[in-house]
Amino acid sequence: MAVELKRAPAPTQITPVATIADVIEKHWRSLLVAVAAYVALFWPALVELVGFWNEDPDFSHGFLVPVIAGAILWGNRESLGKLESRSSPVGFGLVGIFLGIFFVGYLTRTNIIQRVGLWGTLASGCWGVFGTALLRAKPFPFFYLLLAIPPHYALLNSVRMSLKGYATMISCDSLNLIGINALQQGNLLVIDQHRLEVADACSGIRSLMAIVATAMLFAYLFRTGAWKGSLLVLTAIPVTILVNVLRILTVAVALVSFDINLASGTVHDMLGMIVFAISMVLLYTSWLFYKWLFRWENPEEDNVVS
Amino acid sequence: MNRAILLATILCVAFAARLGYDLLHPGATPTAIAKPLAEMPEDLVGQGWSVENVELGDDVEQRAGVDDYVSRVYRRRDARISFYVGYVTGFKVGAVHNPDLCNPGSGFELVRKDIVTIPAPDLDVPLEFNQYTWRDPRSGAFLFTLSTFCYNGQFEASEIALRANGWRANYFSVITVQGSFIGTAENTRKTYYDLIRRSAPIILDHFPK
Repeated sequence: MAVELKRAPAPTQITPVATIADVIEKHWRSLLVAVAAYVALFWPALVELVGFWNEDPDFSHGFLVPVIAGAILWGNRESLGKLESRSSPVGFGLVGIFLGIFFVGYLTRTNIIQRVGLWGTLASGCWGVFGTALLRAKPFPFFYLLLAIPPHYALLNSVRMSLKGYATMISCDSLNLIGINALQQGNLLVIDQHRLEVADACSGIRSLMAIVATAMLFAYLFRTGAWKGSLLVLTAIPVTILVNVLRILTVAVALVSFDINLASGTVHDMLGMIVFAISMVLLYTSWLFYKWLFRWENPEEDNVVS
Repeated sequence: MNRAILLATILCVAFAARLGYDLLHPGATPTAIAKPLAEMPEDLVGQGWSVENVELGDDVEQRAGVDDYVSRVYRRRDARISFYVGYVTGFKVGAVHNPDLCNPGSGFELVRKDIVTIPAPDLDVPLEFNQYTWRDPRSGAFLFTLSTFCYNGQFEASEIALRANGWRANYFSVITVQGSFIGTAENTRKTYYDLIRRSAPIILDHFPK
């Protein structure tokens, strides 16, 4: 009688999934090459983008955005390092798509398209190498980086015109309300013999970009979640118009009632900083108001995210 | 291949592709203007029009990114036409300006846009222009615009084509003629087309051959 020998099943070996820290530790040389190639590839677009932040005061906040995004990732490096890291084919697919977008922008000399490629390749490259877990755990820094990319000139100008129009109109009505006869002519305020121009620089777009960037940071730090955060970010629009009107009213009243010219110079710039501080207070007050109005409970609010 | 090497390889290949493109397209030699545009004759519209030369402010000139320009306003009792030619030595992306962006930015609403080739039997290059009709919502007035880019002796209405071919350009210029309607649409077109027909050979004469 033949004896059938059965081999005992080999014990199942569970291969531990690598963490993000493991991937960085194991492949740091390749990652360094990837970073160097990324910088070299996008060098013309990076130089152009930094030049734009430098030249256009409406986008000077661009310098801060990557620093803040980087600081958030760095501040969470320990918890992020422990995340399971599975390479994502979708991420690599997106790298290909965003590189294609970049090349379309490069061949047609279109900056905005190149900038989208620049951002997308970074985000999808991280997704591809470190896996979905990273973007799921910390999507905010990657989306926050979008604030450093100036939108298309047409969109920007259209927003600028709208903000300027609203600010001039509301300022004119407010001046009449407090007994100062004012007349609106386009973006000009005619008050007695004075003519105040609400110039492009006073449109409020600069404040809007800065206030939106801050509102997004608030939303992240207070862990508001998506829709509450969106409401807070949307609040930046009326807040911007309001503080801009406040600034125009201050300049107009100082000129008409006290014959003090605040329309330019250092005092004008200081006024800009003061109204920005006021806008921050308004933004925070709005948040408290929403919490009270909608009875939001946010047990994590006090846990300021590191 | 591990994932980090894969990403590094993709990015290195892309970098090599960009570098290769740059080497194959080194760009044309930037060429300065042959004659200053300010020397263009003033009589371009015809009898009965007064002309005023307009200086762009330093900040506007800097934003326009031009190395030479002529900006004039032609006036008649019932009409006003502004005539602008900006010359850029070589190719600078920042100097590419277009009514598609600038006019909505100034509050105008686009009513109609066409690409037209203005008949000019005496010229051996087609005069391709963007033709726009705008409306100013504040006053309700209409604005007529003809605009094009000129580089290496060609008039090219498409901004995308200019951007794609910019590396071949020794120079490029932005030509914009815009102003009020003059009676009927037909009369408006005739007046503006005549202005373009008269000025085009003079403009080309000022540019490098």
